[in-house]
Amino acid sequence: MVVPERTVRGGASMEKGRSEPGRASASGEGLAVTVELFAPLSDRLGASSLEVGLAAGATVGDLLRRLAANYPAFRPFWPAIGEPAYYPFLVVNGSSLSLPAGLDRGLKHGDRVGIVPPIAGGSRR
Amino acid sequence: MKGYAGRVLRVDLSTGRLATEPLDEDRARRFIGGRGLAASYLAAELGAGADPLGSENLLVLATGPFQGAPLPGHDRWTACARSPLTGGWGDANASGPFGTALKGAGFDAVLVQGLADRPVYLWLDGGRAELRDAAHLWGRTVADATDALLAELPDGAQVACIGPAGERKVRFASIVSSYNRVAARSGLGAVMGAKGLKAVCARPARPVPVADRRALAAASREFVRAMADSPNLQLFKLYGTPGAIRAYNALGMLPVKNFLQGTAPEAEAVSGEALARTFRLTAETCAGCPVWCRRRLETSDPVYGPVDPRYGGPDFETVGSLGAACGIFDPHFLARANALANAYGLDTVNLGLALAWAMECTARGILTPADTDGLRLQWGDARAALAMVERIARRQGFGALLAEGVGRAAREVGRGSEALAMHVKNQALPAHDPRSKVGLGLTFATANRGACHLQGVHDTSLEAGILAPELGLDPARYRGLSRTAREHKAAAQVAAQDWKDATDCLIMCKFLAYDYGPGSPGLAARLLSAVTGWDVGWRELLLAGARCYTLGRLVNLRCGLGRADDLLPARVADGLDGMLEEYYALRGWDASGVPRPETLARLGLDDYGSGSGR
Repeated sequence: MVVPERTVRGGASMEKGRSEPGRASASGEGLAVTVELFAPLSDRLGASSLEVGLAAGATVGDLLRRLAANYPAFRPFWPAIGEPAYYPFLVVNGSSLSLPAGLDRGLKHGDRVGIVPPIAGGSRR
Repeated sequence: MKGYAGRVLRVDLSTGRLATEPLDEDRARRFIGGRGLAASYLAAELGAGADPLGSENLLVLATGPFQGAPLPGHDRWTACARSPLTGGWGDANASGPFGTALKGAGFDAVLVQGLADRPVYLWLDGGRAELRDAAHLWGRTVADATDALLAELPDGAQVACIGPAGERKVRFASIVSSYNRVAARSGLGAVMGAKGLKAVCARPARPVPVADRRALAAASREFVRAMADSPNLQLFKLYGTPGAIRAYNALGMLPVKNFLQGTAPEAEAVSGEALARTFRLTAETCAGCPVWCRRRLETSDPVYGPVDPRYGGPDFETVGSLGAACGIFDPHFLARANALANAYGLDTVNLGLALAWAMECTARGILTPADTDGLRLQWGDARAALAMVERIARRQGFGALLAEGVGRAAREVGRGSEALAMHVKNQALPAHDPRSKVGLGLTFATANRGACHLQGVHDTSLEAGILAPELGLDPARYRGLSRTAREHKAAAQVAAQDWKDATDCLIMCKFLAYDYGPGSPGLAARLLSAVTGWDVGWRELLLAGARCYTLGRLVNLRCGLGRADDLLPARVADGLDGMLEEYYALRGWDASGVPRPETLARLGLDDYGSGSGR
């Protein structure tokens, strides 16, 4: 079973326990992760986070491909086919994950995956 | 000569003498303009013993070939001098229409020496220059002085002035143009203050000659189209530069509590998104730029005192240094502190890290309220911080010590506080943790003006695969290379430092140029060729950048800054081991960090000699 995404508007926190991902885990057929979004991705999607259901054994790469397939806003980072134009920065449960080495990392139910678009940052004083 | 006013103004404030001299084409082509042009004068003329706050220091305000040309990112100007903060090379760069006005008034650069015996301002109009009395402006804030000058000058005049902090020679005083376009770093406002120069005002009268308008328009269109695909520029357009705060916090790259931490949950409260929810922010942009990265801030509920909207909203660095570094995650504090900094003319980075150092000293018992004028400078205390900002600007009590900058203040206090002072060459660290951007840390250590995030390349760009082929940044080597890795980083920093210096010669907005934006060395060379009529390739452009960088090094060496000053604070120096030696070798410098004669010859700088004196 693969659970469809849910978007959560205007707040980063998820409502645990009443979402579809909870059932997915209980069934043992899949897993669900919370994707935390950062500008400008969050603005393009109109959401600060997404809940994404994936098949059991899914990896970070599977997640990115899934997002790119369903949301055009992700395609600059992970086109449907081929290599990403730019690697985003990933933060899994608060720890940075390097790409491309991290693409094969397995995901667990309830993981929180932050996707930060490429940034240089700063101002020009 | 297309793209240039073709004249340089010399001002001797001691005698009141004003003189113009032609800008010859050989100098223009070798050094292009902006910081490179300024460096060509400073490296040739600045004496080793020139007191930064004395008569002999040479203050250069400069423009480049892009100012006034119809292309995005041209609305800029630069100031350079021996820095009272670092004691060596000093420069600062600002956006806004003052640059176009300076050049349009008939001068590519203004070179100021001497000390005025009474406050003056310089008025430039129609190729003429005049020193005018500024006694009525002395002591006034930036907005008050700017208002008064605009009232007495003809329509179209632009103002770059100092505030009370510059007058009192605060070592990190800024020069503020158009109320909020700030040449902040290196304390060049104090150089103006010491010289008795309250303001430079200019009116653009002459159209800037461009060699090939059609080619320029084509390259500009291509440039603007490429901007639409840049994630960075999309971010800045949405929220201004503070739009990056949430990402930096998530990635552990913020300078929370004086770089003790890289992240804090409370930082969400001062993100670009939070500022947009808290205040009425109006996007502003420079002439011809589609990015709209700047913000005018209005609040109907000022918690800590009035916030004049003309001073603008806090940018990323201000949120990082006054907010995160001080543990103050309060948007109302940032609005007020930013407005105060611009009113008094203070660099927010050096200001924030001086306060953060004092707060850490307080937390560790090194300082007590008895030392700090009765104020308990605790982490997160917005009111105490604001009270101290006022004291710094006026050099009152403990504020007079912080006005010396965090490095000097720590050496004065001693008792272990030196290890808590986050600076390189006395220039406070910007809001980018070198432990998270190891290559940029090397640039912090080596940049001529001290810790600087606007030179070199951000490791995050390399890791993401945002690369510029002209810089030799091989995707197989850099794409996916961890931002905390050391290998290959020295080569990337050398190449990118030369490129960033080239943008400061042009002068081209760094947000639009690699690695912030899509402007590549190749595109910049096409733009320069179209403006000037020269046939300039990107290799020649990068060579000019290398000249600019090297001249700054020669000035530093002459002023006594060298290898011993190319280091990071121990707290953030995890990754620098071995990189400095590699960097010197790649630069063609000897083991003590002095450019070898053959390196100077390769750059065509034989006539500038070594740094030991001239």
